Amino acid sequence: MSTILAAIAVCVFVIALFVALAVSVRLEWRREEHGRRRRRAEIEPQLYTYVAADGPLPARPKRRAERRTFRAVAYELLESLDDPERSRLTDCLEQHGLVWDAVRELGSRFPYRRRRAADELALTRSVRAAPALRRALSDRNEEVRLECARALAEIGEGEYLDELPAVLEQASRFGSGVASVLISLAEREPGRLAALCEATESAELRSTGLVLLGEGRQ
Amino acid sequence: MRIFTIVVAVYTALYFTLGLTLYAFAVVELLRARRRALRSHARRIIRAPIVPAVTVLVPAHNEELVIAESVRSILALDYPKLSVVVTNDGSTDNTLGVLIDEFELRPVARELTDDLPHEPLRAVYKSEDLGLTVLDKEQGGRSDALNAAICAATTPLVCIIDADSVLEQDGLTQLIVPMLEDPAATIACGGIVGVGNGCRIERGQVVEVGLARNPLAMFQTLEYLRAFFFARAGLAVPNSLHLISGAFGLFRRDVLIEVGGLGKETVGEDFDLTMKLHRHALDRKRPYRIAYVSTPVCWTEVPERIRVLRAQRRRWGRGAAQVMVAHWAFASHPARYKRAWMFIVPTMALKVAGPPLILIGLVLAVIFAVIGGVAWPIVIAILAFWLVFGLMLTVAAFTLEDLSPRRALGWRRFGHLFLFAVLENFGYRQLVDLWHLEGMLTYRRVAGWGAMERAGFTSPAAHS
Repeated sequence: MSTILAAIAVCVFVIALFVALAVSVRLEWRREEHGRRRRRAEIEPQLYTYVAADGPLPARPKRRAERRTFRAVAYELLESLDDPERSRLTDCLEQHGLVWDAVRELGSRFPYRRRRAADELALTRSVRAAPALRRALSDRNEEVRLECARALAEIGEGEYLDELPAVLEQASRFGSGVASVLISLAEREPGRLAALCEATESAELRSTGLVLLGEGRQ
Repeated sequence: MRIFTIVVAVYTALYFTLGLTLYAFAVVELLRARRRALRSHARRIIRAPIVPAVTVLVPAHNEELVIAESVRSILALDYPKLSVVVTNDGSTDNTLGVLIDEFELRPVARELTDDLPHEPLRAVYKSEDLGLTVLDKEQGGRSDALNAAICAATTPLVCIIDADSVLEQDGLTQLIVPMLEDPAATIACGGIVGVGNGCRIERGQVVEVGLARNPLAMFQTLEYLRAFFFARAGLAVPNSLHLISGAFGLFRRDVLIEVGGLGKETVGEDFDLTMKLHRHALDRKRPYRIAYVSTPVCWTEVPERIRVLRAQRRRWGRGAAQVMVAHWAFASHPARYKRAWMFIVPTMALKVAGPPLILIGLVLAVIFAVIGGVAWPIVIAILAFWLVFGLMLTVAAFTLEDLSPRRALGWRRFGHLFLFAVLENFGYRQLVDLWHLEGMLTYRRVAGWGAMERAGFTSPAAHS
């Protein structure tokens, strides 16, 4: 009997813990969401007018939460921009040190953070991040290596692209990571992709590259 | 009495160990999903010419109320290389008429491969503009309808959905991510199916996630939460997902043909198919992955009437027993199937043996208490333990939902679900177990289609 009662007590305790967890998640989420909305409402108009070449450089975000929101808004915007607006926004991110934040994150001990940083750098196409991205091509995590390769393909600076074929050929499988690098090369450096297709021994790399190049010509 | 105590103790220990392990795995899976959700290569690939083409297969039998909305929601999917094959499996209502009128279909010549056997076709209709094909065939059941649709598909990937499912606009994109990450090894992928009752649907899209007002639908919402956020998300981590819901799943067509398509011998055809995929790969020692996407990708309508729910649960119980019998070779060879066996067999054992054990346990406990073999306080304490233990697992599933990328963090939702999580222990669970047991006892019977009564999803007008 005492064993059963003890088991019930343990279960009730665990339920209370789970409920407390659910409540705290909701409270924290509400608080964060409220702050995020407020910060977004301040940052978005500044960034939009700056990008449209109508406004001054937005104020440099100081606090951590502000920098996070600024980064989120800027990277969302970068996805939908072409030059010269994209370059203006990248300049802004460089001046505010946010590109360096991403470069620093390439050294994080969490692979998903390194991958996210490389993804952000791919969006900025900041040439200044290229040396760090090239170093990260030897990252121990394959997904990070491929994301860095894609970022370098997006940046498209000749001297940094020499190592890409090796990274692609050494990938353990032909998946979305490799395909994504090929897409970036097809869009930004079709000549490089054509050379890769000629030189590679991988049938998958060659056929996918040729399909992408064919589509590019159309 | 001693045997009974031992059986209950073993069952409890197995349930507890498996529950704890799956919870830990589910946390890992959901955290991974949140990280994946940050940004994905998938969105870029989906815009590129190398994106794989997908055919969505929709089996339909007497679905005139929901079929148009369902097909519209599929056609609205955010996916560039998409075609749809609907199989009208001998409907006696106006399903075919609704499809022809709604999508302006024209009859065409029959062009099907003979990769899988199926009942004869009556006619084939097409809308070239929409990429929609409708097969009109003699009734042969859901598996037969899907096998015909697989033969009609010409793409490397096929997506199976139920006619009453409403998909998230990026549902297919979400589901294809694991296939793109590792196209050689990933043979199938499933996702979270949510309860659509109470959600607001406009033009075939869920625009507002809500809770059902019907108590039966609320109880089923809890069951779906436990099944998809707890068990399946957990089983996906050790590549032991035992069931890709028939409501929405993505498969490699060549593998489906290799395993002989969907089996007609069981009413649990989706369960049977997933097991066949595991065995097919493991028997041939091929590296494979059956992936899971921990994001709600699809919404389905659950029964709101006891009669319909009972028929559905009897069907599920029968299906579970049939699959257990059909895959006895899997269950009896732990050395051959190793890791998949370690997680799938205990899950299947609990699924099949759970309902009879719980019911027999309840009856025996009361009998022992009445004849004086066990003191009433002990019986009440055991029942109380099972109540709080079940509640603990349900609340654990809430916390898992909170971890998912598209979480619903409303206070009202949490309060309502918690209330129903308590209430379900007083009658609902026992009834469902009883129906499950009834179904298992009739496991030799093979029915074609379940008798699901559709109300249709809430229209904006009805909702307001």
